[in-house]
This record gives sequence, C-alpha cells and structure tokens, in this order.
Amino acid sequence: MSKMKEIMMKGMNKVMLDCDHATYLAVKEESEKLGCIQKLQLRMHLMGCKLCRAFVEQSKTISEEVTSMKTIDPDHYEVELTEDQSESLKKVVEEHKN
Amino acid sequence: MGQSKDNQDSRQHSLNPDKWVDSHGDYLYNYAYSRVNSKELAEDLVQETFVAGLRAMKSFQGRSTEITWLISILKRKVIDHYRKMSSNKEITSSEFSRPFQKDGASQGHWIMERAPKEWPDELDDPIHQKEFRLVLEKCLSHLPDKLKAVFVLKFIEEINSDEVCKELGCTPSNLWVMMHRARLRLRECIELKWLK
Repeated sequence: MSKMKEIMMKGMNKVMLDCDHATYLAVKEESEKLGCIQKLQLRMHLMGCKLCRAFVEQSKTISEEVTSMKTIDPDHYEVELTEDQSESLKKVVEEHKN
Repeated sequence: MGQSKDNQDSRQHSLNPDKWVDSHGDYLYNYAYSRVNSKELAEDLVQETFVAGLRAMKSFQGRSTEITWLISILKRKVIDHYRKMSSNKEITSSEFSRPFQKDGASQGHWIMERAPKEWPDELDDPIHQKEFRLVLEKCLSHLPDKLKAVFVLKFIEEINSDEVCKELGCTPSNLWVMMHRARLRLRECIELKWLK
C-alpha cells in the first residue's frame, strides 16, 4: 500500500466507529438525542455493518416488548393479588389509618 | 375504578383509603411487578405505598386523581428500592465482558460467537410474544444489580439522566457505559434462551 493510502486508512479508522462504540451510540440514541457528528458516524457504521444493524433491530424489538410490559392494561393484568394478599394489605391499611 | 388517566377536569379529587386495595390494588401490584419482576417484592412495595400514602394524606391537594397520586408514591418506592440495591458492594459489572475483540487488528469488532444471530420473525403470534416476554423477564432478572437499576430507572421509568445519576451515585458517562453493558447482556441472554 502506498504511504498516502496508509495515512488515509489510519485517518479513516480514527473517524470510523468500531462495533463497540457504534452499539454504545445506538443504545444512547434510544433514550437521548445524539450529537450531529456521532449521529453521522453511527449511520455510516450501520450502513456497512450487518451485525450492528441486527443489534439495532433486535434492540428495537426488545424495547417494544419492554414498553408493552411496562404499560399496565387494567383489562389484561399480568398478575393479580390473591385473596390472602388483598386481605393482608387491607389489614395494613386498617392498622395505619389515623 | 382504577383509571390511570389524569383527569383534566377541575374537580377536587379525594382519597378513600378504605377502597384503595379493592380499587387500585391490582393496578399498583402490576405496576410494581413490571418494575421489579418479583411478586413478593411487588407486594412489599404496594404495601409501603399504602402506608406512605396514609401518612401523606394531608399533603394531597386533590389536583391529581387518587391513582395518579398513589403511583407517584410507588414510583418513589421503586427508585428507593433500586438505589438501595445498587449500592451493595458487588463485584463490578466487569464480570460481563463486552462481546467485542479487546485487541488486535479487529479490536472493537464483534466476537463472532457472541455476535447477533438472525431472530425469527414470529413475534406477531401471541403465543410467541408471550414466550418472548417470559424470556425477557427472566433475562432482566439475571442482570447484575447495578445494571438492572440503570435499565429500570433510565429506560423503563424514563427518569432523566441527572436524576438517575444522583440516585445511583454515578456520572453521566458511567450511566451510558452501564446502559450499554445492560443492553448487550440483555440481548445476548435473550438470544441464547430464545433461539434454543
């Protein structure tokens, strides 16, 4: 490789993210806005990296399921208090009323 | 009736502790369970919420609904729980090595055996969705305490970064490092169990 090319490659490696860093930014982006440059770097990495694209897809799937999990639907409770639990709680409320 | 929407009307809302368990018990229980993934713990948190609620009745101004008010107390209990839990001196989360090459020419690249595999497209099917949910819950419970705390508070409760850091005693950059680890670990655990 010519010296010039070598220097350019080294330069590019500094600019291009590795998968560790890319996934880090992808995780951050789920909750917060990324800076311009980071956003661009991430997009560029994803364009060329199938594994990280898969990571992002799967993260999205997980996030959607987490959202569904944390949204309580009174018509479809995932768990329910047993009679015993209800009675126990009522007792506590009774005891602590003033 | 257990409505979760905050009424926009100008009515003064009131508190009826006698009806709390019957009206809101299950809702609060489910809320707690979705945050701590343990029935026992969820029940404890609901109980603590009721007790705290009874103590704080005087400060209720009637501007929010009863359930909204109770949930805000429960949220606080959830945060307290995770703060206590994550302050335990535990082996640092470096127990989990990230799935990337540490050195060499491919530094920072996925370690192939741990890289994302293809996931089946079957989550539209309610049976598979239920299975996936169970796997997710299991994997969440397997997260080390500190990572679980970060994930729940930041991602599930959507508390802003500064406040999470204040509660858990970390810096903002720590926070994202932990979040990164949590999501990598979660994904890997889910994939292992899901694709079995």
